[in-house]
Amino acid sequence: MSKQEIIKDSPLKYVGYIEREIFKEASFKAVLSQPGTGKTAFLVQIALYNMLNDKNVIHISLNNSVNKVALWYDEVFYNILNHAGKAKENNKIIEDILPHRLIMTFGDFHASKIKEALLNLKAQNIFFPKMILIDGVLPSSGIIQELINLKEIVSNFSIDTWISIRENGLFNKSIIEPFDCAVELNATNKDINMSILKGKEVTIPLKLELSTFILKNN
Amino acid sequence: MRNDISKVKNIGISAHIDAGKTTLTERILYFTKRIHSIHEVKGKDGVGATMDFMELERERGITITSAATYCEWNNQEINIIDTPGHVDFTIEVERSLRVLDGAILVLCAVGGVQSQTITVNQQMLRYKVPYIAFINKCDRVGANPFKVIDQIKEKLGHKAVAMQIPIGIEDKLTGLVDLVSMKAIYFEGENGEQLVVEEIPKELLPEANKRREELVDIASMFSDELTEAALYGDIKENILISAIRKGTINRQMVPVFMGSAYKNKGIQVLLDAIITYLPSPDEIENQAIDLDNDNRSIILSTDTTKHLVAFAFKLEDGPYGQLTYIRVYQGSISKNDTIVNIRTGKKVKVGRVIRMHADKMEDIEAIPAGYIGALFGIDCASGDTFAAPDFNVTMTSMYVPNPVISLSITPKDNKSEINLSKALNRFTKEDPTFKAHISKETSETIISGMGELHLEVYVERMRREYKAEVITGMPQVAYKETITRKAEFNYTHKKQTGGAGQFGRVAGYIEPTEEPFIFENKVVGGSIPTQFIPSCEKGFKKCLDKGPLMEFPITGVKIVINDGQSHSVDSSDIAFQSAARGAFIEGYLNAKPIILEPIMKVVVETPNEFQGSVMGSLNQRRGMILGAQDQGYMCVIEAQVPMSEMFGYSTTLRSSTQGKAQFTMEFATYRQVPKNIEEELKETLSKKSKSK
Repeated sequence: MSKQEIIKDSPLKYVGYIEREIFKEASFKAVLSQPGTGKTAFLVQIALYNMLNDKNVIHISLNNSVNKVALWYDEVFYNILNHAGKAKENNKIIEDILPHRLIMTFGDFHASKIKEALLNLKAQNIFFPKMILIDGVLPSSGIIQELINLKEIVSNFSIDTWISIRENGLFNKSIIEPFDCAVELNATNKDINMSILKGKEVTIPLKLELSTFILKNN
Repeated sequence: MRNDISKVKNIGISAHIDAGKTTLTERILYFTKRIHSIHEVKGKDGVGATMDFMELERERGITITSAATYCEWNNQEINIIDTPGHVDFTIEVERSLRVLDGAILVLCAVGGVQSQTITVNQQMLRYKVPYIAFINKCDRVGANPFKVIDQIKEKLGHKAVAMQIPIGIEDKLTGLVDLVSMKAIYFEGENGEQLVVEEIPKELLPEANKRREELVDIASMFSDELTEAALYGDIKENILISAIRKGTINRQMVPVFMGSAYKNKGIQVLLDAIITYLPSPDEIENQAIDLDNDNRSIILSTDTTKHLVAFAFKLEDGPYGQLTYIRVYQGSISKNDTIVNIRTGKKVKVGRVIRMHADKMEDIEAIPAGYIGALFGIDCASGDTFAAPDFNVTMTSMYVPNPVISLSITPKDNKSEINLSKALNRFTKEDPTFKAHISKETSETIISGMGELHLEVYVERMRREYKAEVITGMPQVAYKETITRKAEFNYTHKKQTGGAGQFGRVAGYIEPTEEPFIFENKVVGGSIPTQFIPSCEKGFKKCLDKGPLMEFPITGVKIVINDGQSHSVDSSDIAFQSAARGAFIEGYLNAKPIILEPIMKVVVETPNEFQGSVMGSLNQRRGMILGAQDQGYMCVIEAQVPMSEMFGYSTTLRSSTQGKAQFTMEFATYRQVPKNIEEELKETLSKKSKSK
């Protein structure tokens, strides 16, 4: 089974729909939700889609260890292959796409730290990302300025960016201002609904399965 | 030696490199009065710590061989196995854990949970060893025991809970608050021998109360009595202790102690904890396999009157011959007993029975069940089971990984040659991951092991202990060959050169598989007579040693034969073996063969300022960087790097990080060699064969 067949036959086709159709023009994107409602799994699905398209992805986690993030990838990828009826092929494909992923963890969110890491990776010829995922940003007083700084940095590097933001007590919807587009995940009894806060409206309504956080349509 | 196993503890001390295991052991021996003065691991007095008894270990400041020793505390016997911390010597750690009933996991109060700590934790899980944790080096700058407890929870996934809080920290560490008795303990006197128990200082009381509440919360999960007592606010010390003990022995919680071995703080309390919280041999269930009864598991009992079952977990060659460290699980071993080595079936008469204290020994009459001791003059390999005659049981074998690196060695002179064979004979018996053989092509002696350092240490030991001076060749990586697709073969072997001819035709297919080798016979109608099927299998198997592509051993092939032909006169065992060899080469070369190389998991811990250069150094070595974890001042980089690129990495790392970074390495997997490297390998091989 080729990488493109996996995308076509699995829920990753919805990531294709999000990336190629809904947010085609956007490069600085956000996903927001309450804790435990699938932000990490959503980002991992975005990453896997890009990795299967041979694009390098940096996954920066602000609240999980490298091993835990890697476990998320194993789990989500297994579930995706399971949907495509190809769970047995897991090992070979993941080994094939693993070189496209670099996981980094930071104790806190600072645009300058991310810039330093990107410069380091470039200067040492280590890894040239096409996409950065930053998982677990917490709303705080100076966060909007940090996001504006980051947007400028990633735009200079021509890197697409997805950021997950945890909705806590300090959360205010003005946080989405620096983003080109933003989606929100809301848990119901049955599923997790995905709604567009900023950007083009969807024609195919998307949800996340409650048990696996895998994308699906209505 | 007494014979009351409820008063025995067989424990190990495991940790990351430099967390202070050997110093801790040394202090334990000092406080239990087994030694009367203290020497440091890298001490200036040139004596070195007692447990690091090999000259080489003292020189390098690392522990290589686990030495078993014993001591007494509060009328109880403690057998301690000091275990090496470096990954290259992991088999030693695994062997030690196999025979232990409990362990102390030593962590550095500054470094916290490090890569080797994670490996050791996994090994303890594998052998179901309950443990308590000791956060050492609380006197160091940057010490933060509570951060380390959080790391044990997050990274190791344990319910870790503080049993103490420090009074002062870093250079102001003076004592500990015991959260069970709620008293302050100070360590006074020149070497901290005098324990002074006082009330908790006022300023520490809120913190102590908070931490005690956490302790009671977790411990009450293992005792209804404690839950009830907590509800009424009347917790008796013995109820709390028994709940913590239950949680620890069931491996559901990890009580965490702290202190500084170097500064003699917290050792006596840790000894109390070993006695209180770790299990005795009769509280642990040990199993053996009954070879006379369909390999069924049987549970061993610590009854000394039952049939003997004992496990040889370590061998050492001393001035008086081979010393075999042994753990008795059932029955007992006494002088003049006759016991059976289950692997060889040979009966052995027991000579001297001794108990070891590092490199000193003490003669004893017997080793009863539950105890660790040593025997003299017994011929066996490590991992062998000994049992009473007519009691055919074996302890389950340990997992032994295959070597990933080899090195040729040539003795410098005649004397060295004789000594070398003695050394190799002993080392290969002692360590199942260390192997030696004579190369058929070059007639050189090849040694193989788990890493560069592993082999270096043995070469040094040959020089020092056996006066065997050797010249070492370039390290060689254990490459392998395999195939990537199915291919058919149909080969006829025909030879008519006068006299009896040879004839055999073998047809079928070859395909990739997960197993090292599978042979399947699907021949119907007798096109290959049944008596020649084993000849075919033998012929195919012979091809596995040296692959047709680049002469590396072959793995992961399935051979199916489904047709063939024979001749009533000219077909023979040899003819079909040759036909199979021809068939193999025909099929193999069409099945897209590739070269595989061993890939190592490399974990580097470096100060953040060197993160970029460390990543760069791994990248230059064809490393795939899997992740970089920010840990405040330090950063942990994990990568997968081909073994062939890791030679001399310790020097590179030292020079690029001013010696501030350290790394560990262990075998991860086999992966295909990139095309350009394959070309280089082919070139080297053709040069080599031309020069022959």
